[in-house]
Amino acid sequence: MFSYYIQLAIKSLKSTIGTTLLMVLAIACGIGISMTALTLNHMTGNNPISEKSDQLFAVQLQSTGSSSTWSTTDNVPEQLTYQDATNLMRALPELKHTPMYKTGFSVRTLDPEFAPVLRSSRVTTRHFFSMFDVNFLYGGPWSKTVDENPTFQVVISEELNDKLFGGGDNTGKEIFLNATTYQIVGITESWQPKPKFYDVNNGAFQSSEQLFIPFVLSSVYELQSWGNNNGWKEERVNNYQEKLASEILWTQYWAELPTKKDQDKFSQFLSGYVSQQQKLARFERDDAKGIIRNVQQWLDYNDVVGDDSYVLVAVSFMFLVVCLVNSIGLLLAKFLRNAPHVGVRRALGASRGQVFAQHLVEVGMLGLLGGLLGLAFAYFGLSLLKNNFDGFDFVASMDITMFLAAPIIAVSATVLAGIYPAWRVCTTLPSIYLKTQ
Amino acid sequence: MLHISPIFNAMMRNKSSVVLIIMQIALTLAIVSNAAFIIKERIDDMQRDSGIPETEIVGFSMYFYDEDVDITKQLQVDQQKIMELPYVVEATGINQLPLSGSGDSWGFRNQLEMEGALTSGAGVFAGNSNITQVFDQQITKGRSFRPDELVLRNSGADAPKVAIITQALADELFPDGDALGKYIYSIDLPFQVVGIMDKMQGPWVHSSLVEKTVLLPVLYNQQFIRFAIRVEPGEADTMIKNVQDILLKLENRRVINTASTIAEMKATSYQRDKLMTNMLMVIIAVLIFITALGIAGMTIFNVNRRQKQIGTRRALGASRADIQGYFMTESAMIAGLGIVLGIILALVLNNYLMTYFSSEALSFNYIAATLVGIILVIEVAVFLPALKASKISPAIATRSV
Amino acid sequence: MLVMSDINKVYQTELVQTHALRDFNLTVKEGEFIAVTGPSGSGKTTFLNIAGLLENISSGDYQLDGQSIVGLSDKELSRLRNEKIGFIFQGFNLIPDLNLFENVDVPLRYRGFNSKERKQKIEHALELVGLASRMKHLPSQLSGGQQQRVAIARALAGEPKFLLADEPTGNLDSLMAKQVMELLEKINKQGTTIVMVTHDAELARRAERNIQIVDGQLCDFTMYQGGATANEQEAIA
Ligand SMILES: Nc1ncnc2c1ncn2[C@@H]1O[C@H](COP(=O)(O)OP(=O)(O)O)[C@@H](O)[C@H]1O
Ligand SMILES: [Mg+2]
Repeated sequence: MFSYYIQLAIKSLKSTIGTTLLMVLAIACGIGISMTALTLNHMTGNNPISEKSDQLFAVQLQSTGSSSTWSTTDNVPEQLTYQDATNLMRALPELKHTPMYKTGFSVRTLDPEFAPVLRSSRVTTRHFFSMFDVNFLYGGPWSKTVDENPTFQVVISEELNDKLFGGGDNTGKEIFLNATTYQIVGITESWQPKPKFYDVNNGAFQSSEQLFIPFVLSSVYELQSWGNNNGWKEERVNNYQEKLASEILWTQYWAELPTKKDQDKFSQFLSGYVSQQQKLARFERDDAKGIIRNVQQWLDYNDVVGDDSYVLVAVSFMFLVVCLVNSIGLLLAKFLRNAPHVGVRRALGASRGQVFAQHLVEVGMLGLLGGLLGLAFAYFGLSLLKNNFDGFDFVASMDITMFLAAPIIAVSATVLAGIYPAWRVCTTLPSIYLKTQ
Repeated sequence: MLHISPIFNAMMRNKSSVVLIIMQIALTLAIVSNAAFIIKERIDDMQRDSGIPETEIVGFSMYFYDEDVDITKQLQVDQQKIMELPYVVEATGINQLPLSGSGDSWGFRNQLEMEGALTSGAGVFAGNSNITQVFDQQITKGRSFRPDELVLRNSGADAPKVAIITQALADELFPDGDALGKYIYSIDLPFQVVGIMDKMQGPWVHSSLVEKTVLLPVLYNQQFIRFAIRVEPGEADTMIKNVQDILLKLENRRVINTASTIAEMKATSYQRDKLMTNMLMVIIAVLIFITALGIAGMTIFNVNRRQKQIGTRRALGASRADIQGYFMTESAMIAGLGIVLGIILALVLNNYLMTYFSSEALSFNYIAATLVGIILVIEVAVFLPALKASKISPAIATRSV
Repeated sequence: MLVMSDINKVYQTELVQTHALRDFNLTVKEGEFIAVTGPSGSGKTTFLNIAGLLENISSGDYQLDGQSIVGLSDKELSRLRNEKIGFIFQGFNLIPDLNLFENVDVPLRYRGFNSKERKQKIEHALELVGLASRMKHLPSQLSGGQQQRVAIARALAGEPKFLLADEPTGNLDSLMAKQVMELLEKINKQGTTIVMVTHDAELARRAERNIQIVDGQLCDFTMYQGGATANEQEAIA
């Protein structure tokens, strides 16, 4: 029977080709535009480490002055001071947690002919790599000793390895970061989480750093933070040592807390730390506290997706609704005009259900055509985005979910839209249409 | 001449299709007026005067990796060399570039005591004493910096003593309009306001601080530093192409990033707004097109369905104009209902956007303009099918089936 | 057998109530050829629609082939209609988008025959009405009489017991009307029970039994002609 319905649908769609084209076009536009908006939203709203999303936690401390206001929703700064970061780092050695911040260097090989390249660098501890599932091509992270005693060791990315040496296992070799030589201990596989969840400071869709150096170097060696340095206290900071001791907020802090028990433990430790700092009169606020947020909560908290994206999705889905209402109207007109034929079919033994099914198959086919064309529109729209806006390369690629979503949304939306017209034709009394006027 | 009530009665016999068209018109009105409003807001932002000749200023960043380089000295050497070029007007080393999206802001007060002070954040540009000329700023009150006011801020050296601020910042800190000659304070550092400029936007175009700008005559001793060059109109590309070679010849212990004009940086800073307006414009255009086609399609269906009826009416004495008028009136009545509902929907949608997305209140002009547009589109969409209806021959009434 | 007992049919619209059939009693035996006449608006079409299960009855009982149709679901009614009843209309009611083959195919599709069976039955039905050679034509390419013959083929393709015809010759000239009538008679001879509404007194007279509906009520003038008994016996056997 289904194949018969399909034959009938093709005939019917062909017989009113103008209306068919109009409806397919309307559905395709609706699907095309909402899929474009949805892809933008979906890709910016991506959770890049979803498998560990609820085990990794961003750590925040309410360490600001009693009257400070912050731009976050809960008035707690996103970053920590260097003092707090180092204090936390030394506690709870049985759990993995690490401070980090971004800096940068001019990078050279020992080859004097090599023109230096400027690269940003993450300053962190060895835990970073295992916490965030960064895989190594060669070598591995630096050792625990290196995290405790300043040593000039570096992990570089595959991209930088290619740039500096043209690839290959170069662990053990030395490179210059500015004027200092560092020994390469590991080379990571290319790792570009989007959004760059672990540090959304300078835009959530920036590239990941290609250099990683031990955090402990900060204490002996002036490393400027390339991210935000936010102060709230009226204090003059004349040099690097003063900055390290200041209340300026510039480090990010993450912890891996796989179990509820670990999370409780860490939270408890944070409250203990906060009250200790309150006793020392460093934390001024009565509501001083420590907060942990898992990856998804952290992305939401930082509004990584952005309002525009949601407005676009909302508007484009309303647009899709208009396209569907438009199609319902045309379908209704068309179906009712064909009602006499339905009357004949009913007289010849078609049941109401069969007539209903026949019309829904037609509508579904319309939806499928619209969905496929809409997919092409969305693809076209996204390529336009990719070509006209920098930094949308990753956003503007439709993933498999989107590829499947477009026709499915189109078919289900149009079938939903077609239910009313189909119901109208199948419930009218056939005898009315069999009368000769 | 036109009888509203029979038209209305006929419409009521086709309730569902009338309701559908009304819904479509209402939704279209709601979406289009809100989208047009958002577009207008964004375009206004993008077209704001930045106060600087965006296409004539080339900027770039560089990184001195060797600690032995005397950076402030090198910046002055670079400046001198660059300004020797025939197509360069002015140049300076600088801490940040306007409209670029990254830079520094400081908090300022109008008095040293915190208690009772007026405060405001501001984007701070630190460059050579010619910084106002580099950005082609007219000083409306006071004067530009003098060369002797330049401070080379190596470790431990002094802060500059003077500042030039924008009118917007002056108004904020000195509401009485007497900013010139007064001191502004950041932490405990005083700066005397020696000049006030009309307008110069800071680095963050989406920040409330964008119009609040402070210029300081100071060259920082920072490894990561920037450079701004004003060139003769049309010479930006030449400058961008040559600048790296010229400067690396003077000192090669640095990495110089690719230069671009402020106009290009501005485009990147407004990229999301551009994306938003483009998407919304496409939505509006397609939406109106689809609504028009949909309404035309429905009218054609109605005309075809009522062919015999129309023929009969003609046979009974209706003129062509009557028939056309019938369909035009019918669509106008439907449009009227759709518009009333649409205005309500538009306000509801705007309210939603205001609550959840800090959008602004929709001005009624947008609803009104959209409304006029939609009525025009509807009447145009109906006109042709109605014309076709009026041409139906009365003879059709006598033909059977 | 088709037995209607005390059937009433009331149409309820906003303004008025129309009693289309009142206390209507009729038995149609297998193999009969019944002509139904009566003034316009008297309830002939209503009667036929009810007989053909296209409309519900307001009260009374209707037994089709010994089975009461009261309370059957739409699906069951459709099934019965498909298997037992063929319809012919004054306006032919062929589906214009479908060619002759596909038109005749419609009831067979709903019966669920496989494609081989359908093909054979369609060809057989079209041969019966003499239009087998024009299978691929669209209805618009045929004359009125030919269209009505296709409609008859369509009605007969599923080999129903009852053929219900509502003024089948109303839109045809007298020559074509005669041809259609002859076809119906031939079909009746082969065993199909026919109930035909007509305005044409001459055609009505050719039927073996005439009934008249006046104001929703039945007046029966049965007149047996030669051969009717034979038919009856055949049906019983
Ligand atoms: N769907 C309906 N709604 C209301 N009244 C109807 C409907 N169908 C038929 N009628 C009324 O029932 C009566 C019988 O109609 P019908 O059976 O079509 O008459 P005939 O076929 O004998 O001309 C008429 O008075 C007609 O107006
Ligand atoms: Mg009748």
